Amino acid sequence: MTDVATGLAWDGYTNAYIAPDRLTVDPALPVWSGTPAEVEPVTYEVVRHALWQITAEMGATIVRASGSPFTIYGEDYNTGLFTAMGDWIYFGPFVQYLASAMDSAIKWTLENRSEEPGIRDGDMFLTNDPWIAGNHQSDVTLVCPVFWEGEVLGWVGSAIHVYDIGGTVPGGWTASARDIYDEAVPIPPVKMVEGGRIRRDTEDWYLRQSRNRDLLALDVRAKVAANNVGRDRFLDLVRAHGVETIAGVIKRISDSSERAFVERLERIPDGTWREENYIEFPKPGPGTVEPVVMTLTKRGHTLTFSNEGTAPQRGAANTTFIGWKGGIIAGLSPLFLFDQLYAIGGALKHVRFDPTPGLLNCASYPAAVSCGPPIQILLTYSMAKNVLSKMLSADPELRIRAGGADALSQFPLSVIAGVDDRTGRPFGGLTFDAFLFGIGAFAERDGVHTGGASWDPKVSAPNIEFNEQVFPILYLERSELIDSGGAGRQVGGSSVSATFVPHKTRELIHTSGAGGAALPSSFGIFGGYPGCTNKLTLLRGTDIQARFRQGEMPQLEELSFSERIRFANQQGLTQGPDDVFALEGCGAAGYGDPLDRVPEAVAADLVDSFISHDAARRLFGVVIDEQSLQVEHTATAELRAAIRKRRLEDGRMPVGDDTADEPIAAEGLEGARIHEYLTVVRAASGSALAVRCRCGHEVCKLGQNYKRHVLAADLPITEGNARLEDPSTFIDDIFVFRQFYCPSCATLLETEIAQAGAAPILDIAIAPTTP
Amino acid sequence: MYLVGLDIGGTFTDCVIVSDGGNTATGKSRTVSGSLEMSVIGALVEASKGVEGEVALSEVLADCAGIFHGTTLTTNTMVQRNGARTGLITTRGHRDVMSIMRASGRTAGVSVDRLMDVVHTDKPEPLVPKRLIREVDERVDADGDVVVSLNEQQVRDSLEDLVAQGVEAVAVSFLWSFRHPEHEARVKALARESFPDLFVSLGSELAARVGEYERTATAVINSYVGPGFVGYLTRLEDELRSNGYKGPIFVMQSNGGAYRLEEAKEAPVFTLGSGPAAGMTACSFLATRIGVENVIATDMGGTTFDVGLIHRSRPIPKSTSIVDQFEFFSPAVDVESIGSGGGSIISFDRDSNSFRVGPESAGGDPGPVCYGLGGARPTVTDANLVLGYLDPDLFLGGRQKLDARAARAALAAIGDELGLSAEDVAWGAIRVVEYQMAELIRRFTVERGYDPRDFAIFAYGGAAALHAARYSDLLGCAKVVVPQGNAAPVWSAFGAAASDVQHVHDRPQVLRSPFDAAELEHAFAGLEEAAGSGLASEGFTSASIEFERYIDMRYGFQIHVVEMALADVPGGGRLETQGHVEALVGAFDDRYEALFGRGSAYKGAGVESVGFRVRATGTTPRPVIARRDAEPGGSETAYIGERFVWFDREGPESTPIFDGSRLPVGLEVSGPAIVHLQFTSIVVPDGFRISADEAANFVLAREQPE
Repeated sequence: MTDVATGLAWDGYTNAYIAPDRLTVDPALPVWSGTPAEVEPVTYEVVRHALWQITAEMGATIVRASGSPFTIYGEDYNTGLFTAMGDWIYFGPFVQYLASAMDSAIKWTLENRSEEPGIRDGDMFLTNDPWIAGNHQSDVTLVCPVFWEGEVLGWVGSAIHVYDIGGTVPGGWTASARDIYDEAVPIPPVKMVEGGRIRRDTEDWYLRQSRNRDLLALDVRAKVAANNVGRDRFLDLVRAHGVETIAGVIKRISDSSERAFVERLERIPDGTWREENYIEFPKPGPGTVEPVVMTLTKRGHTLTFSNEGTAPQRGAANTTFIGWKGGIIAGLSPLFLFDQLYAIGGALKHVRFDPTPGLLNCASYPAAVSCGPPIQILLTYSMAKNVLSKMLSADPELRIRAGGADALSQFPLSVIAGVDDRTGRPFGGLTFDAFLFGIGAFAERDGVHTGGASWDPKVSAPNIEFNEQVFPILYLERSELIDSGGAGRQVGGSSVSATFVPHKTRELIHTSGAGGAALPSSFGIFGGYPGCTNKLTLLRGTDIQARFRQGEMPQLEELSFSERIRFANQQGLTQGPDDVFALEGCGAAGYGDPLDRVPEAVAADLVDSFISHDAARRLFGVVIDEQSLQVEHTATAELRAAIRKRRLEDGRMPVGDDTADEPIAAEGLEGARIHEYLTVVRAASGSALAVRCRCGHEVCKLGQNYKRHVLAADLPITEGNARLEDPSTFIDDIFVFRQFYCPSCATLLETEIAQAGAAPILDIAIAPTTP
Repeated sequence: MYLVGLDIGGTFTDCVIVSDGGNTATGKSRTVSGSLEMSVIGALVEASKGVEGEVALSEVLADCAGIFHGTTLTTNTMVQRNGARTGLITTRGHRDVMSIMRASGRTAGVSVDRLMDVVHTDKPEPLVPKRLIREVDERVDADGDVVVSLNEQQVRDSLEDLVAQGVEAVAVSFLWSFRHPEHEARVKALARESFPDLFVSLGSELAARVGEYERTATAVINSYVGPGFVGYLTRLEDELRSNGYKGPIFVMQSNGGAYRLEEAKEAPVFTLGSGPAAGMTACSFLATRIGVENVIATDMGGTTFDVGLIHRSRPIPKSTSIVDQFEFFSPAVDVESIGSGGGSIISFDRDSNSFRVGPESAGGDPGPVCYGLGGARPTVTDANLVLGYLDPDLFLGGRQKLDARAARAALAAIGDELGLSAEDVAWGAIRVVEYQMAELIRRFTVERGYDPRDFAIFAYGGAAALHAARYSDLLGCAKVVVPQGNAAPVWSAFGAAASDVQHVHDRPQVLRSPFDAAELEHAFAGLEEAAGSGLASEGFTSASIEFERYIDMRYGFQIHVVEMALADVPGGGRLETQGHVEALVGAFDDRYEALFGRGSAYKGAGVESVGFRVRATGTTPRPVIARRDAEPGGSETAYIGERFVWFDREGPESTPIFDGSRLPVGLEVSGPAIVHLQFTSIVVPDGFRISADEAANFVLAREQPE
């Protein structure tokens, strides 16, 4: 697509491919053009169910046929069903952002392959091009046209995160890449299967680049098998019900999802929601951070997402538009289409993406993008979840799904390699411990400890015994990480720690690229605290082997050591038999003011080792008897009162430019809840609408940035989570943990991770459409 | 000589007594949850009244070769969470294995459409709270080498401490314990020494397989359900002995076989899910009896629709099960369930301007609207009633009167939203349900590499016979068998009586191709020796012991495995020559392509075997299904009358109703018809015919074209 206003070509070469509303397809390609039938309810329900089952069945085929641990444990694959022109019908309940690029692969193929080499029955096209369909080069998509009586009726597709597709670093994440030329080759759609057979020439060329061609070949077959299943089932349904009926059901699925989406949007006031987060370029590199911004605007029935304000593309921390859009779609589905089997097609008619190219999250060729998923896409998802959560908290039904960011907003990428003495063979890969992350707090319930991710409904991690079979390592522990979840009225789910030593090998070689090591990246909402950071630690010269011999299984903090190394982005760090490696995954975020948390819930978390005594007092203001582990109610009430008093004393009204901060006149918003603690009311004086805190205090006029009319206090960054350490190990910029309090009741309204001196972020701006 | 089968269900306790001549007497008693053993005795007394000559219970028991007992007690303990206060002892650093649950604990066993609504997903309540978990210093590595020896003092302290906390049962699960069982065994010995009454479960004894989470879960569940189950079995045994029974008592396992009461007391975890498994055993027995090799067994009750497969006369097994989102290792019959029972709720969906059936269920309480127990939302049972498939006066043998008017009103309310009549909605809902069932069956069979058209359908449970003709038609299955005779209402109890004693022995061991025949044979021989000596100690002679061999295989680099039954390998799976090994690898390639499609096998990566499994069976006396001889007479013998039934969307037609118990053997009746049975009805649509066979089953099939 060429953008008329900017003249930018979104064709999949320099900038990512953005499909035009009408595709340009070679007229020689026969496309089914019948009229969808009106479908009666029974057939609709029967076929809808059967169509969706196809995606699940394709997924089951992939799992069983693939050899990739990503597939088995990360459920890092997805499947989908599409119309003839590549619009969504359904995708599977697996990694959401993997599916969300498949429509783009099909549309690009239709526009660019229908003439030459042509699209025929029995063909399948493979691509991993991050400017067309892959989130990074390791995500390989295979799409397959479904022909009915000689015409294209629809498409099926499978995508798998494969183990290794070449490039300068095993496993495909090239954290040191300067540009795409340091990474695995991006492949625009090529005909991998022709007339039902895998093309030997194409496959040989494709496998030739891999460090493990057998594993890659298995994954080609897994996708082929899945697509065969999908196509055959699709056609079975056509034969059973008639092509017009199937087309009618597909149309109705889209209409139904669209209607649900629009009805839900109608219950929410117009406005703009905004979030700023950061990408780290840690030491020993530059030691700086760059901003990433997401703005969500709602006008009537349309949502618009923008990345404006994000820093220019840089180093290896980029993703393309494809990844950015995928992260956003992954955020939309569970919040809006939870009862529509995530049928995103209809809803997407009301979602606009307004990307500025050349930025970190919408990089142009030839930026390095292989680390896009662990860095940018997960962050995009987290930010999308937060802005959407703030938006839908206006609706009494939808708000229960609002929540703080999940853990793993930045992935602690940590690959080990070496030679296994047990077999004499080289090994390399991820241990997947970090997949045991937590889900963020919801409005009315806590997050889920080590519960996986909301963007990957079926994620899991392997057993320790599996990892010790595959890698020559010995775990000292794998635990739910105390204090890792963000504090709040509802708390974020706990993350995980894992510690291991080399075992039956000379050494392990670590390659890591962990964002979110200096600053928390999972942000809470409405006063919720962030989760902890990612932390990779190497203790050198420990007494571990002697302790083993003495009959001890010591834990990290009990070891003596000669050197403690914290690292984030390192290549080739070696770990010998006396060295101990520990990984801590970043935690999920909280929701609401922690002083609102029921004290007994704090005590229960303490008993179950999810929080420490120190955190109970400091963050939640709850005093718990160290012996009985019961809440001391009087002491708790006093402590909480003292904390509120301190908030009022420490907080200052922000100063600075307030000119753009005009009250707005709007009808019909009276009574609207725009924040967990803030509601729109008729102002006490004058006719304008005002924003009122739950305590009755009138904070500001509607249209003004509430953060400029409440108290703000900049606390040391380490106050944001009990596990945080001094960020100066990795970055030189000074950041603060900023809190905003109601000047009357001292409720914690919002928290920010902010650069010292930066203006408050305008996170919520209700702005009704002027007729 | 008699054989007794027993099954304790939620509502009724069923009993079947089979005598030498094949006479099958049945009895039912109401299950009294506080006194299950007396419910059993009650059912036994009832059943013995039906034994030829109306012998006293004591006479039956005095001349009884074996009592086979199935129970949902452990399942109920897990559902109601009223198990023992349980502690866990594990390797230092691994306390959280049961709360981490490999992260999959949030979604395991949760239907996919539900797990997409993230806010409503969560992990289950823990079975062992963290404060009752103790870590001890010890460590074994993947090769079974001891890295850190066991700290026995810590074990003693932990046991003492846990007992002081009121723990009644302890699970012990160390990393790699099955490679070096001595550490866990030592804990058990120390526990015996100090606390002889403490119930102790070891991961290495229950599940010698890789995977510490599932193995630990197996041990924890075993301990959690253990004390309650042992108490019950002890009381039951006392009760049976005091009534004069001296023979062996067997308990049904989830693998469809039985084990001795003494073993059941050690490993109650293997009874979880044994109810559906016993039903499968009954199907398998019947299938063999009537000469059907491949069966899709379908059981539809009030809340669920269960599917299992019998292929070449063997129920298809699985090795990992899920209970309350906990995954655990248990050799079990592979039965899958969807929430599509008679209680599935029919609802209007505004966004699509359509209606949906399920996944919500009204269950048995309040149940369907027509029960009149307070259910306000219409269900599949209500739809069946409105369409005339059920007789309001004869439901459950007349035990439950149904309110058709209330059912129609509830359906009409949904119809109003759509501009449809109550009957239109009912008609549509039944079609949707039948499609869903066909879809589940199709997926279940195809995913296991089979073609449903090669199978016959068995339909049992209260509601399956209402729908079986149509779902079999959608699948292209040749015929439907509705097991009848007097065993049908006590199907699981009958399955228990028909079961053999079964033990499954596992040995995880990775071997890479080219395989050595002698090495494979050696692995199996070792397992058979262990399993055989176990059965021998239970009194089975070598002539009554059978072994089945299974091997888990995969291509190099794969993680998932395909279980190969050696009996299915051409040549019978012998492992004497390299030719036999090649036949095995060839059979794996074929099976793989059957599962994943032509061209999906990637032979370049080589083949690995990762586990050996032997299923050892000690055969027990078989019940005999009584013959029902062909009787003279036409269909008028069984004709009850007519009622209006909807077989066509356009309207109902007057349809003949037959009493199944009086239908002459061999006589074919053409649909449309309803065959009324004691506890269910068979719907015979237009184009189908039904007949009673000499084993007292009903067989439904499509009319052959003239």
